[in-house]
Amino acid sequence: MSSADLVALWLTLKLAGISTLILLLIATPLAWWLSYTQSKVKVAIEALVALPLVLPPTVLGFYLLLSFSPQGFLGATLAALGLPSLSFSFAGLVLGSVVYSLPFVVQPLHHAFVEMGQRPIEVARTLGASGWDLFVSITLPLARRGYITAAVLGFAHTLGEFGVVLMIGGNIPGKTQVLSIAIYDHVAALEYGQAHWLSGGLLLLSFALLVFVYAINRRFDLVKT
Amino acid sequence: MTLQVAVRIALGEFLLDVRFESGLSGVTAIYGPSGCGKTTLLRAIAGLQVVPEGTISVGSECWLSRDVNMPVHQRRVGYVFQQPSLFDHLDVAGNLQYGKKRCGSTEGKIQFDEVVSVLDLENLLGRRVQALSGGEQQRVAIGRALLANPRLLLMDEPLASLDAVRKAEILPYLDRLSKDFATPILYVSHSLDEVIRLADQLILMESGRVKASGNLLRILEENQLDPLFGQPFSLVEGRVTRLCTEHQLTEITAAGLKILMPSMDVEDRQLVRLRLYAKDISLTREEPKASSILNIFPARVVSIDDAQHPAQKIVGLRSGDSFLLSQVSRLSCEKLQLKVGEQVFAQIKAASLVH
Repeated sequence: MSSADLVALWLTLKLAGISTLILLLIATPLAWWLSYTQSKVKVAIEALVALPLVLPPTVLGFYLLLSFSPQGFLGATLAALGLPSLSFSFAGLVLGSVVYSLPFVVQPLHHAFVEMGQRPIEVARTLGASGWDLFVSITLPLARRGYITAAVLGFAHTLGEFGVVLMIGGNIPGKTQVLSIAIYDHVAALEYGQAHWLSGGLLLLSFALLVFVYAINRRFDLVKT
Repeated sequence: MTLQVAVRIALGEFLLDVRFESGLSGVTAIYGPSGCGKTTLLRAIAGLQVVPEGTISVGSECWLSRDVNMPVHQRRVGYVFQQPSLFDHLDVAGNLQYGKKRCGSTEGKIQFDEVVSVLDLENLLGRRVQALSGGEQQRVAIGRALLANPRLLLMDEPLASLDAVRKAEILPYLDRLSKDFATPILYVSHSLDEVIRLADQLILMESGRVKASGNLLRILEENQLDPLFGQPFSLVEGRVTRLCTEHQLTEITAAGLKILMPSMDVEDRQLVRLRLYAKDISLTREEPKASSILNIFPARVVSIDDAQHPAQKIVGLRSGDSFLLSQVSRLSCEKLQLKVGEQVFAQIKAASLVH
């Protein structure tokens, strides 16, 4: 593997890791709200969250790119605050990944919260728990399957991202060149050997992560019965 | 300590509109048919149900008013749900400790060992909760609620999810609960058997309203013919005064009556309650001299009401300090010329022990 490939690999893992962390932070309140709200806008929010599942990544990337431009909503706001532009930057990639992988994190958490129900929370509140203590001592352990599934799926899905990254990140080695784009470059340059290394690696890693998710779910099923 | 409640909650078509004040000592039962709002009321008291309009106060503390809405975790109510609802990720000891760790003050605290021994949990402590039977799970849930040292223990039909065998297994623990711990209990039930066995006070509910509240025996007496109570009966409270081994009989003295019953599993001086169905008490004008019935008492007629069946009447009687009901046919009523204020003899054919 060339050093450029190693840089791309590292960048990809960093992107997936940071995006997953941010996703878990955002998705927890969002999934919680979706699980218990009676609000009429719930369906619309659910559909919005699920959009990245069906849209071509290039469409997402295109709109993100427009919003990053100095005339765009995000770009103008950032410029007004004196912050650097998100276009062709790592931070822009993180934002794109978060949007792109949102449903993969929200949905497992949503299912976990619905399955858990309100009852354990109610019991814990009558026993004197509240706030952060309640979340750490009850919600997190009871929804752990959902959290593990959400984290792994969010991570694995971000690993394979291509369209969004290409649209908003360009292809700057060491800055925005991720694994999937490096593979594309190798194939375009007819360097099939290197493309094999990277593709095979990604294939095995994704497979291993999914086996892990299914094994975890199965193990908890066995424990439960 | 008194509980004062005045709340209005509209849930779709259903309106809960209750206003009552009740002393809190021992067990206070909230009794009424399914769907009358008992659970909603209990949840409102715990703070689990949003109450748009109302006040709730316990002792000198206000839990809910126009300006106050104390959060659930500060009300310190132990809540036992119909389903045991144990925390799956903790073992039995972990469940028991959950509330204990969070209840703060150590003053007058209910002791872990005491709860474990009263509820017979020693052998369960290290077990996973999934491995317990329904009855065991409910015992752990009760222990968990008690150990949070609650000011008030709320129980929402804790036996309803159990079969008859498990129910019988838990009831003795509930008896001990009110005797061994000072924590007042609010007990929601639609089972009359549980209520007359466990309760000291009664809050009677029907379609979203409180019909009556107060001392159990008094409420029963005042509402004796309410269809909510099924077949008319009277409840007397007394003590075992003699165990007569020769004839295998037990004597129970209840409010001036000495009632002989077949030997039962009770101890001398034990407090007991007897349920006397109106259909098991007959009346005579003259004292029967040679009757096979053991329990015959002089009584005064205090009321005569129509029974559900048009052929029958329910006669209310005072005998000693006890209030009894007798179901007689209208024909007998006319033949004996029964009138309020007259003296008769009540023959008790059967009684059942409830406590």
